[in-house]
Amino acid sequence: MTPTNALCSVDEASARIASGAVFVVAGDASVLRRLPRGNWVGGTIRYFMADEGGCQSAERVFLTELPVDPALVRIRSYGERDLSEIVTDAPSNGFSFVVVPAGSPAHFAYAQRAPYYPGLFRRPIVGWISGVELSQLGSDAPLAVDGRTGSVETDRAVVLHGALPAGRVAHVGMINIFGGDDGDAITFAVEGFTATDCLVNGEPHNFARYLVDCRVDTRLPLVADYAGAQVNTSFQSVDLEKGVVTFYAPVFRGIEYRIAAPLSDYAGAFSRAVEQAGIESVFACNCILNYQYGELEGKKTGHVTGPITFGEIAYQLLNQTLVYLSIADG
Amino acid sequence: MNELARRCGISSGVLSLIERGRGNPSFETMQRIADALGVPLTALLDSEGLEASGQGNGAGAGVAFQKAGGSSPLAAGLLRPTVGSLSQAALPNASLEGWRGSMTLRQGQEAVIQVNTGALELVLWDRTADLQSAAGAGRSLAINVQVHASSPMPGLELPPITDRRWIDLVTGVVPFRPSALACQILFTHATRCIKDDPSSPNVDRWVGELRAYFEQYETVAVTELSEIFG
Repeated sequence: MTPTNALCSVDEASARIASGAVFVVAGDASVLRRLPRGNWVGGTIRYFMADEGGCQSAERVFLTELPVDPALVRIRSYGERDLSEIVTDAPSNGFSFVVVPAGSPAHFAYAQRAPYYPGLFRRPIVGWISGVELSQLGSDAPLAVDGRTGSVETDRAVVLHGALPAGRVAHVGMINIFGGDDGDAITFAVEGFTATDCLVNGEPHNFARYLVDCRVDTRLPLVADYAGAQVNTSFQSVDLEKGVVTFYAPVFRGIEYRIAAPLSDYAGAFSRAVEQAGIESVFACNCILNYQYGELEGKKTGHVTGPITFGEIAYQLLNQTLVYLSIADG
Repeated sequence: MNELARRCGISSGVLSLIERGRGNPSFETMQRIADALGVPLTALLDSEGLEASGQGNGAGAGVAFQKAGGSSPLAAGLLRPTVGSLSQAALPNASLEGWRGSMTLRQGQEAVIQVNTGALELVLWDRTADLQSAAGAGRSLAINVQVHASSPMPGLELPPITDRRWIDLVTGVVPFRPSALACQILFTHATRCIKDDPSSPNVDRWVGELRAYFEQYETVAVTELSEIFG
């Protein structure tokens, strides 16, 4: 039987969960609460890349079956103070699937501290930031759910640790359609989700003023070259009056950023990149900003489907990126 | 041989490898073979166990574990991990209490044993240990064994963290473009953090992270390692 990885009705999802298999579920809060207890973790998302293309639904859930023995699965929640235990709890061979409510203390703590957790990069860690309907930003609370206990978290991350048998290996990867252009090199002296001052080609600037003066399209992310991996940090807002720029992921000291080169066709760029990478994933997610800015509703991004999230986790928090988990012989 | 393989649900090639002591059977596979032969699992494990218990004589990497005084089919088991692979034995409804283990490795190899109870309480078990120390009874018991080769390619040793070449790596003297996402991100954070704080403790911390990464993934990062240290 092919593992489920599709948009389902609540009844279909409930039946699959009742089979005892292990799942990640994305859906509106009202439908997540209707699902039965079982081996699943979930989070609030109502935007999806389904077989028919980008869509949104408050009635259906995106159900992804994880090929792991339920007896070797542990689900636990983590607050901002014990998030580093995700690494120590992770199986030596397997993966950890993280769901974090957007704007929660766990979200900010993981985003800023995870790269410093000892051993983080020796454990395949993948996941996403849960969100809300865009029109309800700031009023509805994003949730993360432990399906075994029914516990619903607003402040804590929920993590599914899955151990794999001998000969099976988890791999976490990403696809980024953005690349830094040949423009200015931007660095920050202070890490975090906001920035005031920066250096542009070594010269001090107020970053908000710089963005406005240069008429930067802030739908394009900052891109940094991580030893060959292009890693995005997306803009949330630019407050010229206060001179503050806010991001959806933290900027780090000592990283050189550039504004991404413009793209005219997000869907096409993802389709080509997915095909080129030859992804055979058991799970994938993409970013709500790509969905919005790339106008992905009704469009496909290659054969890869999954939730459209408020941030993607591939070891650390990423923005405007397709993240995937694959499990293969190894 | 073909009939036995069919009854065990494995290929004759795999069965042949196990029969010649060159396979890496899981606990479940060994149980199926024992069932097909109509003999207790322990009858198979006793002879295999002798081979795996050579004391540093190069007879082969292996981990034997048993429950003191036990006589049930689940009272003894054997994992025979190959270098770089992961072996696992799952013992449903087993209790951790009373389990003991010992392992023998070829010179230059090291192993980490991880014990998972049904609640996935994780315990690192180093070389010889009493599994009672894992504490408590679980609904199931899984033992994972990962054996690492200390030398991923002939003549190439993973240097200690005090080796100057690690410093050259994290300070950019040696150009390095890893292929795995985890290594790319780790390497970038290591280099920027050391640039930000070049104190010895910080250098040791990040070099230690990098070395541990390569130690875990050295069999799949041979190209990168040879570029750095070859």
